[in-house]
Amino acid sequence: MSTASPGPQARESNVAYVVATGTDVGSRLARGLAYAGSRVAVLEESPADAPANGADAMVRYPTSFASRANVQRAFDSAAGTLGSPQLVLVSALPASLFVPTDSEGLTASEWATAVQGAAKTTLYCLQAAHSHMVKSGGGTIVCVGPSFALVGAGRLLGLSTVLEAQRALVKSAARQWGRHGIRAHWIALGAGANYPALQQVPLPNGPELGPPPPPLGRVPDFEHDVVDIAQFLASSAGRGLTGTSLVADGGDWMVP
Amino acid sequence: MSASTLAGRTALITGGGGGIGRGIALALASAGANVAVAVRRKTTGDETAALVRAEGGRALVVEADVAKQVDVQNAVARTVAEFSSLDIVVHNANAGDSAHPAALEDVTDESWHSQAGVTWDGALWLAQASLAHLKRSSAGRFILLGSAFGLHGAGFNPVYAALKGGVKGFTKSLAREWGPFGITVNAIQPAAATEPAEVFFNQYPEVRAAFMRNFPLGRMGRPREDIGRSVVAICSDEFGFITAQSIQVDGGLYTAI
Repeated sequence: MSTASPGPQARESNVAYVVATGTDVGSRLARGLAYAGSRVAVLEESPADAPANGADAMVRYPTSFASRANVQRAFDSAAGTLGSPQLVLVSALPASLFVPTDSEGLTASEWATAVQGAAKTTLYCLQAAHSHMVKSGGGTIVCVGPSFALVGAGRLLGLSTVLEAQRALVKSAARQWGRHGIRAHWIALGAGANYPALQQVPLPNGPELGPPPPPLGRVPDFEHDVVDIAQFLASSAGRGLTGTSLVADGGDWMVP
Repeated sequence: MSASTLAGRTALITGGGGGIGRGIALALASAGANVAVAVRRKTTGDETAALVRAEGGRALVVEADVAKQVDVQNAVARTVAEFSSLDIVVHNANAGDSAHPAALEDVTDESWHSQAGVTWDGALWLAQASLAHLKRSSAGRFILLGSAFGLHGAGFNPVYAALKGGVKGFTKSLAREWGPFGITVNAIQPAAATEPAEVFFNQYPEVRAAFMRNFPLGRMGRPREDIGRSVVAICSDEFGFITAQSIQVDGGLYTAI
C-alpha cells in the first residue's frame, strides 16, 4: 500500500483563528497564542476590551454564530487580513449550557438555542475552516471543552450532549478531510478554576478515593499548557496525529 | 431469560415499526412485557403489533413523530392509559437520511435538523414525558440507541456520528441525574442487519465483504435475537446495577475502548 506524504500541512504560517463564544475560554486561549508568537484572529460575539498584553498580535472580529453564512464571512474577513489559518481553535459553548438544570426543566427553546445551536456553531466553524484550509493545503482544527463530558454530570445534560457530539464531529472531520492535509482534534480541559461557572456544580470527582489534586498537582492552565498542546498539534511535529481526544486535566480521568 | 423475565412490565419503543425497533419490541414481548410502539406510519406499527399478538403478547400502536414534543407526550400518556404503567423506554427511532453519505462541508441546517429532531429532541421529549412514570416503577429503564460511529466518527455520515456521539453524553449525564430515583440509563450501540444496512450494502457491494471481515463473530447482529435480547437483558433485574454505559452489541466489531 502506498503512503501519501505528510502533505503541505508542513507549511507553518503561525496564523491562528480562535472561535471564542460563551465562556472566556476562547479569549484566554487566544491571548496565550498571541503570547506565544502567533498572529491571532479572535472571532467572538461581543469583542471585549483588548487586553494589555498580546493585543497587538490579535485582530478581533465581531461574529454572529447564528448562521453558516455569518461564520463564513468572519473567517473570510480574517483570511483577508491575516491569511489562511494554520490553526483553528474552537471554543463554542454558550454560557447557558453551564447552568445546572434538571432535564425535566429544559424547555424546547432552551434546548434548540443552546444545545442544537452550539452543535451547529461547531459545524459552521468546521465548515468555514475547511473552506480555507482546503485551498491553502491543510491546517489543524482543535475543538475544546470541559473534561467532565467524558464522564457525564447530572443536571448538565445539554452540555454533555453537545460536547460528545463535538468530539464525534471532529473525528468525522478528521476522517473526511485528512486527504486534504486537514487534521482535527478535541482537547478536554480540566474544570477546576478554569471554568468558574462549574465551580458550584457537583461534578464527579476523579476516580481516585477522596478529592486529591490531579496527579500533576494542578489543573493545566489555558494560556500556557493548553496553548502548547494546540501548537504542537498544529505544527509539523504533530503531522502523524488526527482525530484524537487529548485530556488536558492534569491526569484526573485517564480515559481508556 | 424466560417468558416471565419482564412479566407485568410495560415498554415503549420508538421506531418500533421495523428493523431493530421491531426486533426489540418482539424480544421484550417474548420476555413478558407489554409493548407500545411509537411509529410515524401506523401500518408499520400494526405489523409489529400483529406479530406480538400472534405470539400471545399485548401490544399498542401509537402514531407519533418523535421530533414533536406533543406526539411523544401523547405516546407516553396512551401507553400508561392502556397498560397502567411504564417501566421501560427505548429510544430507537432514527431519521431516514442517516443511511445516506454526506460530505461534512455540504451539511445543511435542514439535514442537521431532520436527523437531530428525531435523535436528540426525541430523546429529551421522551425523558421528560416518562420520568414521572419511571420513578413509580421498581425497575425503571431508559435505553437509547447509540452507534459506534459516535465513538470513532464517520467518514460516511458525519451528522449521524455527531448525533450518536451526543447520545453517549446524554446517556451518561441522564444516568447521573436519574440514579437517585433508581432508574438506569444506558445506550446500546448495535451492528445489525437491517433494511437500511441492506440498502447501503446493495449500493456499495464492495464494502460488504470487507466490513464483514471486521466481525469476530463473522456476521452482523439479528434485530430480535441479538439486539432485542440484549435489551431484554438490560431490562432484567440481573442488570439493575448497570447504568450510564454505552454498550457495544456488535459481535465484537468495535474494540478500541
